[in-house]
Amino acid sequence: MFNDRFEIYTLSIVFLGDFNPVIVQPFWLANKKLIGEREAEDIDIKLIHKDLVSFKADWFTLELNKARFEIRTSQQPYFEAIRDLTLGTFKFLKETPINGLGINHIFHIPFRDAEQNRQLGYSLVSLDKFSGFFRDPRVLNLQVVEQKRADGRTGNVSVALSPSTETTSKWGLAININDNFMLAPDQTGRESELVELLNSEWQNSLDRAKIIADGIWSTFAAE
Amino acid sequence: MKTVTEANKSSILELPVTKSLDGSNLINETVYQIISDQIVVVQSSNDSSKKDATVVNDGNWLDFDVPKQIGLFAPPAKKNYFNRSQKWIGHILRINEDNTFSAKLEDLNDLTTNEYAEFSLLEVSPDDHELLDVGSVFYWSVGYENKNGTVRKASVLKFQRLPIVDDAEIKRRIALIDDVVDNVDQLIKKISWE
Amino acid sequence: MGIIVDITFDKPDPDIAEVTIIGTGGYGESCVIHMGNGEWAVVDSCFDPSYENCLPLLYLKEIGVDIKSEVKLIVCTHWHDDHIKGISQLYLNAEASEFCFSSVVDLKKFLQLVKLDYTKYNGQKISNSSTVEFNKCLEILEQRTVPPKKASKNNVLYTARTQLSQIISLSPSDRSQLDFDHDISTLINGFGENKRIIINEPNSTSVVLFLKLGQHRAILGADLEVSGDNQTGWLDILDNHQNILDKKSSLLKISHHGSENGYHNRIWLELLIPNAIGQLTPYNKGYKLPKESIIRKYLSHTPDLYITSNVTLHDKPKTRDKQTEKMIRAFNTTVRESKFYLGIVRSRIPLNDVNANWSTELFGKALKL
Repeated sequence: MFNDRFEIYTLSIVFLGDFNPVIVQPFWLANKKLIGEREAEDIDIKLIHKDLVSFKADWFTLELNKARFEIRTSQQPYFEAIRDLTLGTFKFLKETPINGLGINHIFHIPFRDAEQNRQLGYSLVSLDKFSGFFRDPRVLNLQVVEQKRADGRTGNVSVALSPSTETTSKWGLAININDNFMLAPDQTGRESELVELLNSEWQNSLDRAKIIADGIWSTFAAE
Repeated sequence: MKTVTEANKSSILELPVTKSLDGSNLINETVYQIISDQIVVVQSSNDSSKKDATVVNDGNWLDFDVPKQIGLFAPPAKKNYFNRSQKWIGHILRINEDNTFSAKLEDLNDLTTNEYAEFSLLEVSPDDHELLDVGSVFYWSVGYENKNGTVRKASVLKFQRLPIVDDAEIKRRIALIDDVVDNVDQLIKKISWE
Repeated sequence: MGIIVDITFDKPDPDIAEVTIIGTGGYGESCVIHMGNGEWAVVDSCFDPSYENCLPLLYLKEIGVDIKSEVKLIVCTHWHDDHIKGISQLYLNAEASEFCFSSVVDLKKFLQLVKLDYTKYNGQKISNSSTVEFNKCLEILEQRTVPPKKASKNNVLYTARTQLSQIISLSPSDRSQLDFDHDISTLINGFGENKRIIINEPNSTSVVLFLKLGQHRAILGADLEVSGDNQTGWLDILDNHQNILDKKSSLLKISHHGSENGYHNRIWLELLIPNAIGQLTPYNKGYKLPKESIIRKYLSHTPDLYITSNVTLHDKPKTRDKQTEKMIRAFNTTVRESKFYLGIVRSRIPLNDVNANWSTELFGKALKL
């Protein structure tokens, strides 16, 4: 079962838009009851600056600059909590211009050995065709995009494969699935729809990511 | 491109030095620091050929592309993850006299039959105590937590926080109710008792 | 796929009345009524959680009922409890049906509460399905031209074409409606996105139905209870039924899963003939109903007591892989699954034969107590 395969599942929520980073600080979140007060006190603040805010709690990391908001966690018990925190934050900042939403799923899967790692490359790409000019060709990164979303929404779904250094094995695969929603050019003023999409598309995004990751592993890596 | 000199290296030597366990692949984490009102982004580099640091000045940003031999590395990302988890969303049915609460659980991995359980109030974080009420929604997970290499079984109970607290949010709620009232006014025209 | 594998149900003849209860052990219950001559009514709904299919709809289809034209009335006895799972599927299919729910003092305010609760769910899979179901029914109602029926004290909900059969609501009382109105206001004021709406006294507005089926009578008790106030609950019905209940009933769908509060000696003495049939569904969520003591009380009134499945409190979590099961046990030994137990109690009687007795058959997990 795919749930037994991956060692680490990192989820991140990204909004693109026009932000005022300095508003979103731990004590602001606590004041809005989006996190607890004790939690806010324990947060490790890396930076608070008018152009960039970055801090790390026990269960999430948040970075916000003028164009990009990202919250992420590798702890599955808190996936819904980071969604709620994001929804709560942007409920209070409802005037914020937002033009893109990304729900990103990164699965880190260990390979059994170097050979399985190598075989994946051959499975993904016809590496033998490179042998005329490369002595030992390997695939380092691969990205595939579904340019038009199957659900008809504006945006795309892409998957990027790269080596993972996060697993307990020396060789691992990172499958990074980006579920991207954008506002079409004629949709300015409808930013709140992207925030609502985070809510309404949440479960679909989780299900879709697992299907894609499982499909990739079964198709290209499994024996 | 400006080369980092010994003089200005010192201002960023305050960053902790670190290596990965086998000295090879460095964990790539971005660390920021303000130097003279400019934001410094420091990222470790996997390029072992780099012998000296280079600085790219791009408006407000100074990018330091730092070779690992100098040792100006970002601290490693602390591995803190949770896997093999079983997750539920629950809501409180009753708060009992024996400092427990009874809840209905919906399995987030299998949305067919429901489960019911009791939980001790001791399992609820102090911050979440104010959220304890009949009907309150929470997430419960059990799984394996890996914290900096130490693995242990863990149970996490976290209450949902989508609060309505300040005037702006109260106005939003009233606006929502107004929308609902408007919709209901329309509905009432079509639905009234026989 | 039939409602129960390997069992084929048949349609009753036009002159045979039928009262069938479908129980699921925790995923709703439903009563399907044949009033004679192909006119049907359905009270509440239930579903199989694995397939989310409306079980009364499946039953009616299986016996060859033309859902579109022959289902005349759908009654929702509670809106906010696990009693109406799948009801919107049924209502959507039953194009000729009227939709009935418990009367409220302020319909507009009630609809506001329902709509507010509904706004929380926004297409998410995890939902308070009763709110979603009820809202779907409201949407269907809005599209159709027929207004909803109000179930309240002594209200005729449906009269069959032949005039031989009728369905009459006996509750909620005026006082219950007032109390509920207060509850609605409190809930609207306390509306919060982090909470599910839990109504403290849902059963006081529960709809009890009196069925006139040709020469015979039946009472469907829904979840009505006996309260301390004789202007609400069963006491209100018992004190005020004389002009409405023209005959004693020979079948009772026992209220509130056979709880102590759903029982009153006067129900059996004043509303039912001796040895009237009793049908009930169990409650298996957190505590068991009916208890042994109450079963004995019911059996003192009738030898014909039927239940849709055994009263078991399944004390284990869902079956999962061994590792996960072990982990759950390590942290919480109280987790228990509300299992799906499908049982059907079907009772039929000739409409016009005053001397006839009910003939009851059991299917699935149903049994005679």
